[in-house]
Amino acid sequence: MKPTRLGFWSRAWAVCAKDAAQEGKRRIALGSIFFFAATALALVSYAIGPFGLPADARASLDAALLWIILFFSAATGLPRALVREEETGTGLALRVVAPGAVVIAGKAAFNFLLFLAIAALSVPAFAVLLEWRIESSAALVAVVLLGGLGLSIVSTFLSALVARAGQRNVLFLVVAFPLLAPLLLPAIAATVAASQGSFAAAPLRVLVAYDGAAICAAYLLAGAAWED
Amino acid sequence: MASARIEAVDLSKSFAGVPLFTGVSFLLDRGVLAVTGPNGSGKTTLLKILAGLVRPSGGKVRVESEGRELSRDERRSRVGWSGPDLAFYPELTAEQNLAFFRKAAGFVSEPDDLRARLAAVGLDGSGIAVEHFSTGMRQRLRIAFSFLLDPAVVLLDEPMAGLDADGRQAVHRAVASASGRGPVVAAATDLEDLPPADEVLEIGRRETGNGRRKT
Repeated sequence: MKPTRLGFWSRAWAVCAKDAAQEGKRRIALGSIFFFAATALALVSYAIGPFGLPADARASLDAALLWIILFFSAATGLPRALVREEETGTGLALRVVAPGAVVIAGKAAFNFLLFLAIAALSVPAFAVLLEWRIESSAALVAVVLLGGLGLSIVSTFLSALVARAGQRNVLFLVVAFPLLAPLLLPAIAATVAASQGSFAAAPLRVLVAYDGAAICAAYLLAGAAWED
Repeated sequence: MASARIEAVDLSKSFAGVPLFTGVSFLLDRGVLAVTGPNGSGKTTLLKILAGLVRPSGGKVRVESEGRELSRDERRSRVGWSGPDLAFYPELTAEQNLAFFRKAAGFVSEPDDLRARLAAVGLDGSGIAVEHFSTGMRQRLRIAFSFLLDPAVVLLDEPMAGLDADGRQAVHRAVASASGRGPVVAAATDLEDLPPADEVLEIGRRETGNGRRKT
């Protein structure tokens, strides 16, 4: 009798759970991300806090600063997903047993959870330190979820692309910027609207489209990015 | 392990235009094929090509199981491979590593089954993280990894490296059992560092048509 085979998502979840177990023991990504986020938050609140800017300018500035902090905090830890597999030599064993799509889906799921953990601590801290008022929490949650999903998928995919390259950390940031700018701009616009109490439909639609395109591209190109 | 065969057809590999080996061909449906050759002759690369981890510069690898050719994806679960550059997650125990790789490959992972697989290569399921393993213990884990998915074809690169007498015996037993049901390809510099082979393939560096098969 042939053994029962696990499905795509069960296998991807195994990759995600393994990363969580490793991170639980080492806390390298968590430590570096939270240290960066805390430092950035402290500096931004110290530098910007005292200025009495007009409300509109302040809303735009706060939204941009929030996403800069989230982006660079994530950029500190998310590329580790597959780079670490290459550095420790475990990428070979992973390639033996699992196709690229399973690996990238599992790593992206872990990165998304990591991003949500960053956001769950950074956004309230940002609001307190900069006296940032959010009129529509539901809209902000939607923006953070959609923005975080796209950021996690694209970061994971780029991590697979640069994992075996020299100067991979610099390469990641150089390649990430043009690919993530179309995500960050509507995310900032939707965050401004959320802080003013409205649900910005246009930027949210762009985020949904971006996430959909990112998922399709990552799924279709996973083999080429990770295996070859 | 179901009936299987592995065939290499005129395989060649070159790096930056410099040929590593050319004209390697063989067909094996059961028993042990020993691949030997000097350092740098391409033994490790050849086994990675057979495992689907490296693309050949020329030629083709055909793996059949139960009468049909396997796709590249199917080969993941039907071809077991281990080599010196196979590494494991250092923070996890041997059992946790094997459990993860089985699940990632799409198979249910039972603790008793994993402990039996570890016991077969002389490792226990104790909670020691792999980062504290000796060289020989890591090699035993590599051997356990190569048999983890009950593969139809087994590829072992330097299987005896770093092993003591007990470890070598464990490899002999595993290979003897596997080779009775399907093909096993094992590579090392010297024939003495391999389990008893039915056939020998010698490869040498930078020679044309350098796959020589001895029976």
